Parts: sequence; C-alpha cells; structure tokens
Amino acid sequence: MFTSRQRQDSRGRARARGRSLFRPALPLAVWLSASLGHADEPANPSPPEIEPPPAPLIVDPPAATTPPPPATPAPATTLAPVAVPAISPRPTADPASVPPADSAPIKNIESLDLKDLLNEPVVTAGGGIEEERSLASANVYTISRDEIAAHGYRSLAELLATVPNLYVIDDLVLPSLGVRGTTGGVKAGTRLVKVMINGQSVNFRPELTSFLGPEFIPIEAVERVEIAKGPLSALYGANAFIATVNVITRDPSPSLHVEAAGRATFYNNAGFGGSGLLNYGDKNRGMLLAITLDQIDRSGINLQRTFTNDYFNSDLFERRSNDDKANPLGVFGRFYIGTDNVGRFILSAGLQRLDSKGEFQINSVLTHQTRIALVNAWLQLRYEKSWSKVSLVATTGYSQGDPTSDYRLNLTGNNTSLFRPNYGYKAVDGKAEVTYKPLGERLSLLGGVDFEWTREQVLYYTQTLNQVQGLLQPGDTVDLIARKVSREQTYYDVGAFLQLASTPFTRLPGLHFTGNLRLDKIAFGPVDFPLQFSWRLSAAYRISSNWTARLFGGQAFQNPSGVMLFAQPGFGSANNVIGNLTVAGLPALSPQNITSTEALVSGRLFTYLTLEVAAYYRALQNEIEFTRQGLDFVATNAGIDRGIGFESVLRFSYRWFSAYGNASFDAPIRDGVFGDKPSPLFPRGMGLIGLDIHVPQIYLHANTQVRIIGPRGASQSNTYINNDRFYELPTYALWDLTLSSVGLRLFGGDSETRVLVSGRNLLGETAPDPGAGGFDLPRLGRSFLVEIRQIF
Amino acid sequence: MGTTGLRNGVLLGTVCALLACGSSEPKRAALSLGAVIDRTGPRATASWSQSIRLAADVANQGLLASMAYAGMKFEIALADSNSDPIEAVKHGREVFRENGAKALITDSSEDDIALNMLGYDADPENDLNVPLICMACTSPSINNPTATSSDPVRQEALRNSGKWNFRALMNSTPQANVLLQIATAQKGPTGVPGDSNRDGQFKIAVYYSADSFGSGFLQALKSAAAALNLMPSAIVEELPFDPKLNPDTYNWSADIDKLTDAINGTNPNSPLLDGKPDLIIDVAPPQFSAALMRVYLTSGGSVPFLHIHNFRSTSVLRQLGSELDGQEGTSHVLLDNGESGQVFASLLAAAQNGIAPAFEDSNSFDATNVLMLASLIAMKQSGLSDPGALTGSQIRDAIPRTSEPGGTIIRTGVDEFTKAANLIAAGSAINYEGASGPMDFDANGNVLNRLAHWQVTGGAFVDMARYDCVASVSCPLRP
Repeated sequence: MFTSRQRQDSRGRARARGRSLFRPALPLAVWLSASLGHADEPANPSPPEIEPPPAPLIVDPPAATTPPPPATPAPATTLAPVAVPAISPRPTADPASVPPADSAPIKNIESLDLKDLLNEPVVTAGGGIEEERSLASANVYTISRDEIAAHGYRSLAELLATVPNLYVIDDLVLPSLGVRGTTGGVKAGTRLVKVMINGQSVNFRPELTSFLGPEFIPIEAVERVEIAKGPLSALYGANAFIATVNVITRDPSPSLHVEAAGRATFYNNAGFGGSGLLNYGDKNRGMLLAITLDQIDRSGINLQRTFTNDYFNSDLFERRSNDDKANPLGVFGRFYIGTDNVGRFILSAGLQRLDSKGEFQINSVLTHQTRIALVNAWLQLRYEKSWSKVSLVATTGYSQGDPTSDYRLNLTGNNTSLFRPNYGYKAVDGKAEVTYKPLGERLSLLGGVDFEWTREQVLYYTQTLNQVQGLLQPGDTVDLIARKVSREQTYYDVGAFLQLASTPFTRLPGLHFTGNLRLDKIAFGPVDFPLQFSWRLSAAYRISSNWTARLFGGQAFQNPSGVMLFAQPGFGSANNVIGNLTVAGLPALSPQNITSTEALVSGRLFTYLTLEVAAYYRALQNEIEFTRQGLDFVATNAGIDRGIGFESVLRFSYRWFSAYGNASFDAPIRDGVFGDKPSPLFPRGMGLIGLDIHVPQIYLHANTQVRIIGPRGASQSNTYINNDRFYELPTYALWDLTLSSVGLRLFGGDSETRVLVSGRNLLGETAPDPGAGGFDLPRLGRSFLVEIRQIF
Repeated sequence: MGTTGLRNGVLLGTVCALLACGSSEPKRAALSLGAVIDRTGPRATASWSQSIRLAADVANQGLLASMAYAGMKFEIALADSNSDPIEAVKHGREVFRENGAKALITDSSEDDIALNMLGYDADPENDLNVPLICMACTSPSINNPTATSSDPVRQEALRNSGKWNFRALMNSTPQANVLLQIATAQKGPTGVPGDSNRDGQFKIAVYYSADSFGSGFLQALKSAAAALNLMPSAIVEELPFDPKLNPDTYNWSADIDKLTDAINGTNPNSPLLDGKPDLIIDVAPPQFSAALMRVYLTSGGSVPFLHIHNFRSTSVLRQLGSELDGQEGTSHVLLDNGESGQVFASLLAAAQNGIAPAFEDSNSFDATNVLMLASLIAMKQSGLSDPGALTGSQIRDAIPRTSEPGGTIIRTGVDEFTKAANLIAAGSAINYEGASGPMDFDANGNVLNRLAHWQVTGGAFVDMARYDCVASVSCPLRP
C-alpha cells in the first residue's frame, strides 16, 4: 500500500511525487543518485519511460487502517525532498492536509522524468481532493520547493511573476496581481485572487488582499505553490475569482530538521536577513515552526516620465528614493496530534508583519517618511477523521489585522500633518465538510457548509497635526470621519457547497468529470447582497498515455471589500479610494461575476519535451471599476469585460540540462471586436525562458532565466491625467542568474551547507510598471542576493 | 507535435483574423474641438471632461443617424489647465496647433480670460481665432462691454469686442443678489435683517480668491449689499487669499481668526473695530473651501457660512461628508429644462456607472453641444461638406444661431441631435434647450441660468428653493 503521496511506477516501485526543477533525463541523474548514495533507485541508466495505465483522476487516500511505510531518514541531498511520511492515513483530501512530496520515501529528484511534471499530484483544483495535474479539474501551475530554492525566491510575488498570464505590479510595498487580462484596478493587491495556506484563506480582510512579500510565509516552510487559474468560487467561495493560489507547506520530518539561513541583498544599498525552520514529527504528533526576518533597502531609484504631464513638479523626477527600507517579518507554525481512531487535530498559525517605507504611494511620492505597517495574524484549528467510505473535516479559525502605530502617510510636499489609516478587522470562520465515496473511484461526493464573520473598521484617516490649526496644537489628532458615520461594519458569508467527481464509464477509465455548485449568502453592513451562485464543470480525458485533454467552465464571484464599500477620503484632496456607500445616492456595489471556459491539452513529445497549451474565454459581468468622482475614485459596477487568451508551457530535459519556457497572450474584446490596445494594468503578452544546469560533481546548480513582459496599458488614473490619452508602457526583459551549491557537506553527516548567489535584473532594466496618481512605478534595478543556509 | 502546432496555428490565425476585423469601421471626417479644463488642481472636477466627451459621443451617434452628416464626427482634444491660467494658455495653444481644434471649451474665469487675451495682444502669431466657450466662468467682468482693467489687452478681452468669447454659465451678479436675499430673509431681535449675532448691524465677511473670479464676485456682493439699503448700512469685510496657495499646506487658522474677529481688516493699514460678522461668504475654488471648512469645523467656529456655487463641488462633499450637514449656499441649478436635464442626467449616470451629475456637468455638456450644433450650422451656411475646412470665425458667428427664437426646440439626447442635424441640413432654425438652461446667448455671449438654494443634508446637497434668473434679473423665488 502507498500513501496518497506515492504512486507505483511501471515496475511497481513507490515513486515520489515531488517535482524536479530541472527535470533531467534519467541516465545521468540516476548515476548521480547512485553516486550520492541513494540506494532506493537502481543504478539503471534506462529511464522508467513505460507508461503506467491511465491513472484515476482522484487519488484516493489509503484506508484508514493502513499504516504508512516506515519512516526513512532523509539523506540530505541538494534539492531532494527531506521528509518522510509522518501523517498517514489522511482522513480526507484537503489542501490543508495534503502531505507534500517530501513526506514520501526519499527519492532523488533527478530520478523523476518529465511525465511526473504532468502527473504530479495537485489539490487546489479539487477542493482538497488530490488529482493528477494533467487531469486536474482546473488549469494548475505548480512551483516546487526545489524551484524556489534554485531561484533563491524569498516571496510569493517573485514566484508568481513567473507564472504564465500572471502579472505582478510591485509598488515596493504591497504587490498587485492581475490574471488573464483581469486586474482589480488601483492598488488592487490580490483582491481578485484567493491566496491560501494549506487551503486556509489568509488575507488582510478590509482590502481582501494578501501580502505577497516575504512576510506572507517563511519560504522555507513551503513545499510547493499551486496556482489554479480560472473561477473557483464554487470550491472556495467569495473571491476565488480569477485564480486561486494555494501554498502547501512542508510536512514534519521524522527526525529533527533544522534550517538556518543568513543573507544579504544588494540593491544600491545592502540589506540583511535571516530565517529558520524547525521541523519534527511522527505519525501521531509533529510540528513545523518557521520564521523569516529581513531588512531590505531599496533606496536610490527615481521616477520616470512616462507621459507628458504637469501633475508633478519636474524636480520630483530628479529625486531618488531614500531610506526606503522594508522589514518584513513572517512566522508560521503548524502542530498536529491524533491517532487513526480518534482523528487528527491540526493547529496552524501565522503572523505577517508588513513594514515598509512607501516612496511610491499615491499622494505620497518620495516623501522619505511614509511607512506602511500592517500586522496580520491568523490561526486555524482543524479536525480530520476518516471511516471506510466517509471522511470528515471540521475547521475553525480566527484572524485579526491592524495597522501598527508605525503606519504613517505623508503628503507629497506637505509636512503640515501626517495621516494614519484606521482599518483593522477581526474575523472568525468555520467549515464542516463530508466526503462520501459510495462507489470507490467511480463516484465521490463532497459537501459541506462554511461561514465567515468579520468585524471591520471602515477605512478612515486620522490626521496628526504638525502645526497649529485653529484651536488644535501640533501633535493633536483629528479623525477624518463624520460623527454620524459608523466606524465599524460587520460582514458575514454563509456558504453551502457540493462537489461530485466521477469516472462514470468503466470502458472509458480515462474520462473524468467534476462538478461543483455553491451558494453564498453575504451581507456587509447595510448591504444585503443577492444570493451568489457559483458553479464549475470539468471534463478530463486521457487521450493516450502521453496526452490529456480537458475542458473547464465555471462562474465565480467577488464581493466588494470593506474599503470599496465604506472607505472615507481624507488623505490629501485627490486620488483617494472612496467607499461606494460613502457617496450619497450611488447604488450599492454588487458582487462582480466572471464566467470562463477553457480548453487545455497537455502531453509529452519525444521523451524530453512536455507541452501544455490552453485557450480560454472570459466574461466579467458587473465589473467593479474605479470611477472618478471629483478627484477621487469610487468603486462602481461597470458593464461587461470580455477577452480571450492562450497560454503555453514547454519543458525540455536532457541529462544535466533542462530548459523551460512559457508564453501567454490575452486579448480584450471591446464592442465585439478585439481591442487594439492591451488592457489597463496588464500586458497583452508575456513569456519566460530559462535553463538549469545541474552538476553535483562540482557542487553546482545554475539557473538562468529571462522574463519578457509586453506592452501594458496605463492605469485609468494616469490615462485621465494624460488627458484621456491612453498610453502603453514599453516591453521589458528581466534576466536573472542564480548559482547555488549542491551536496556541500561541510559538517558531515546529513547536514548540508547551501550557498546561493543570485543576480536579478542583470541588464539593469528600468522600464516601469503601471502606477496611478500621476506616475508609473519604477523598477528596482540590478540586485544581488547572497545566502548561506545550513541544514541539520 | 504536429497536432499542437496545428492547434496553435489555428488559434493564432483566428486571433489575427479577428484583430483585423476590429479596424473595419468606415472613416468619418472629424471636426476637432478642444477642451482646456482643470483636470487636476484645486478647481478640478473630473466629471466635466466626462460630460464633454459624453456630448461628443451622443452627437456622433446622432450624426450617424442623420441624413446629411453621417460621414462626419466630432473629436474632443482634452488638455489639463491644472487650475493655472499659464497652463491653460500653453495647452490651449497646443490643442489648437496640434489637434486643429476649431473651438475651445474653457472652465475658470482666469483661464478663459488668459486664452481670450491671446487675440488682443500685439502678437498676431498667437491668435487662436477660434471661439471660446466657458462652462464655469462667473466673473461679471467677462463679456462685459464696460469692464475696465489697468491692462488694456485684458480690458479688451473682458469687453469681448471680437465676440470670440461665450459662456455657458451665468455670471455671479444674480447669485450675489440671491445670496444676500437669503442672508437677510430673517430679521433678528434687533430688527435688522440678517443680524444673527444681535449686534444691531448686518455684517458679512467675504473671503475671496484674489483673481477675476473672486474679485468679480466680491464686487457683486458689495453691490448687492448696498442695494439692500439697510439701516445701518450693511458692512462688507474683505479678506483676499492667493489663488495659487496650496490648500493642503496653507495655514487657514490665521485667516479664520481674521474672518471671525470683530476687526474689519479690509484695509490692512487701517483696521476698524466694527463688530463680529453675522455671516461669512467664501468665494473660493472647491478644494480651498473644503480645506478651509475642515479647519473651521474642527476649530469650533460659530459664525455661520453661506457658500457659493463652487462649494457644491463633489470634492468638497467627499472630503467632509455629513460634517457639512446644515451648511447652506447657492449655485446654478444642476439640471434644468425638464426633459433636457433628465436625459442628460441619465446619460451621464450611465457613462459614470451610476454616479449622478455634479455641479457644472450640465454646463459642460451644453457648451459642447452648442459648439457642435454651431459647427453644423456654419457648415450649412458656408456650403461646406468637409468639416476640416471650417474656420473658427464661421463657428463663432453660428453660435448665437443655435438658439434662435422661434426655432424648433432641440433637447438633449441622440435622437434630438439627429433631429437638429436634419433640421440644420434642411436650413431650418433650431432652438437648443440645454440640460443646464436655455442657452440663449445675449449680444455679449452670456447666458442666464436658474439658481438653487441648497443645504447639505445627510451628506448630500439638497435643493431647498429655486430662483428664476431666466425669467427676471430680480431672480424671483419659484415654488
């Protein structure tokens, strides 16, 4: 028997489901594996290229009474998974409980072939049920721990920027994410994307945005990141709108696993940071603790004139950012205890401190004083229990976030006062979910209910005076909110969901269907939203041993954030985002809906090549758009936004060399024809090409990649300032080179020392990304990261 | 691999084919109109340019359905005057030169005057020779044949001797009268109308922008106060401020002290102790008023304010919301002429995703409509089929003919514009009844509007009364 993380290869051996970054062909890899002492893989130069029979779409967890394979100590190879299965059996499949690859028996990742990339297990598209990626019920892109390590990524923003058709706009504080031509507009953050850790949504509720910087989670704790594109509200409720990002954390290892890393980053100035991980556990109990803390200095960059305007004095374009430091802190912990008989309890918690100077914030450009400081904390208790055909998951969680006392906003050219936003929240949520499999692989039913209750402060500013103003003295504060306006609002969402997955025809074992329905009842303060209906249908068919084809369709919704509904102006006299209900007489904002259909074909060519091609159509209804009122912005429901696009991912692997690339294209449809301009804040096309060289004989792994971003449409705000003349920002290319050590054992035993040197944007590209409020966002220039990591 | 290549090829081919389809619209001859508007800065209101664009969109739809003008369209070239007359001149000339604008829409008094002066200075090279129509000018000096100025060029421009200048908003003189009607409507215990502080006299403090808009309004208020013939005479304290100051950084407290104390500092060299004011009137751009009121309200000031039209800006309301509840003032009505106003309101609300028209939006819309109708009339009169051959003077001369007494009434909306185009093509007279008012130009290029007495209630401006300055210069109160 095998755990859910294992499959049998053609020879009946357990095979790890982890993912190789460089996907080498096997002969060299196996030789290397053998040379590194991995006895579990025979030194057979012939790769296991014989196809297994078509796998069922749903990978069933083992029976509850089945013991896991014995824990095997992890030989610490360079990029190899470390842990062994510590928690088995898994009572039900859920993103929160899906064990990552490193809990499988130790395999050298070089022993994986390209087919594994297509068949690797993913959980996000199935609402927690494990599926093969090439047959998953959504277009899922994964980034493994190995890839993260080989690139030296420290944040979600860095790795999401490499995903086809995802576009990250980094204002150096809170990155914004656009997907497939759809963006959330001004300072959207990740509003349109649900970002989760092990299936638990983790975001700052008032803005519905997740911190994508290093503070989101210590990257050491991440096993892989799954990005499921397309509408997934039917699985995850509100705001799983155009994509869902699920960070799957590592499972505990059977022996104490300790990592400590120190690093230096060099932009124009040096910054330093450190992180650590403590990981231990067995079948019945375990823990994972990780922390990261950095200080990154981005000083020394300036604005570029991207359009002719007199909005700013010319001297502002001559000035450079100064003392622009970020101090992200992220803490993550996961603890579990339980037995097969009583079930398993899992406690997960996280602390995210976003603390960054904001030199390029709207209304606050190059003040050298603005500091964005938010703390977000969350906690989830989960219970899992399985019986023969039924499994149960129940969760409850609490989260809280607030601006810290360090938060301050200064107006450009105005030192008479400073401002601090008030928009904290407290939230509780819960879920009960039952999975029933009356016919084994043929039919799986999943149903449940969940709820969220949040108490939010409406966004308003407190002004602290630096000079006498009437009866007020310097240091006095003024709350910029009318006395009659409620300072808090309550949000609730009660949802019921149902999923049916089936392989209905015995004679067509390669044909799989998944269907989801979900209803949400949502109210936010005085607004009682209409009942929200979400659905998703998926059909997957294994055409041959090498090729699969899938069709997806679905509808998702996004409810307005508290900021969109209730925000008060006050930070300067223009460019504030004002709540829809703050404007008298404006109809209350409705949730926006997206309907999408997609076709995807994936397969393998000539042993060494895998290819995935997807084409989609999207239609956004009741699009939430920021409309100018006065000189501020108000969220309003606009009409319909349509578009089509395609994405392709190509991977090649041969011996010690592997290469990869992706390309994506999105075309907005306006008035029934393709628009001749890219969407605002989103490129019409983008792509990436990279290669890896893995030479453990000399303890070296090298990666280089070039990311190309096509022309992006300017923001609505800047188009307005440019006298309604649309403009595009030019194409740019970013070249990164990362060298890292492999198999370096300075302290002997299972310990390993890893040294990583990474050069980012080596061409010094400075092309800006779209901004708002009269300027576009400058790009950090050439930078370097040096990291030393010790693993015990 | 071949299958994949074929699929990619088909997909790309489809995309390319569809992209090609996107550019198949037949080309229409364009007539360019410029709009030099404060899109940023303390006077700016974003919906003005939205209203101007809306007018052009509506007209272009209307032209398509017309018999004679389906082959032409109007284009709007926007420029940001950034609440600065120097910028207005710079960008107005750019729009004229680079976009070939045949007429210009302007907003503030100073911007309009600065652009108009180009036609009267000694440099013929900078003459625009296109009509200007101002949608937010209220200075009584503009289009006033008796206006005086120490600058002869400015004086000529103010007198509008070349008839290049028009405006789509009534000047401030009637409004000043209405303001003081409201202020003195009630007698205090002392029997003196408007004596709310019971000191036996009626005194107003006028805080005004030291430019043609503010000075013009001040003079109108002084004249209106004198016309009240109160005993004792009404006192007007004057306190100017620099229109170029930064409202976010300016120390308003000092000025508030001056406005509320018992010292009349009209002449700073010889201040008078003449009692506290009964009323403060702020003659200021919107963001100045907002910043002033924020400080005033937080500092616990007790002298009531009566505000002018600029206060009715969305910017003011957004910044202070229901804190302004109870504040009162006057403005030109937001919408007028029944159906004309309502159709415009629904069109703009649709274009702005539900946001209702703001102050002077309807005037912006009407200003644009007048220029477009005048262009069609000029083409007809000149026998031109190519709008590019029109001259500014031809449009100028046609502007008064958009509102011919006895002409067929033309209201707002696509169908109405089609009707107007067909009538013009047939040589028939039209009478445009705009969304802001009748748009009947007098010999000096001025129009009359109706006024509203408003109050902020529940964080919104609510009209309490209407004054019909179209019917009579005395602006009688209408039920």
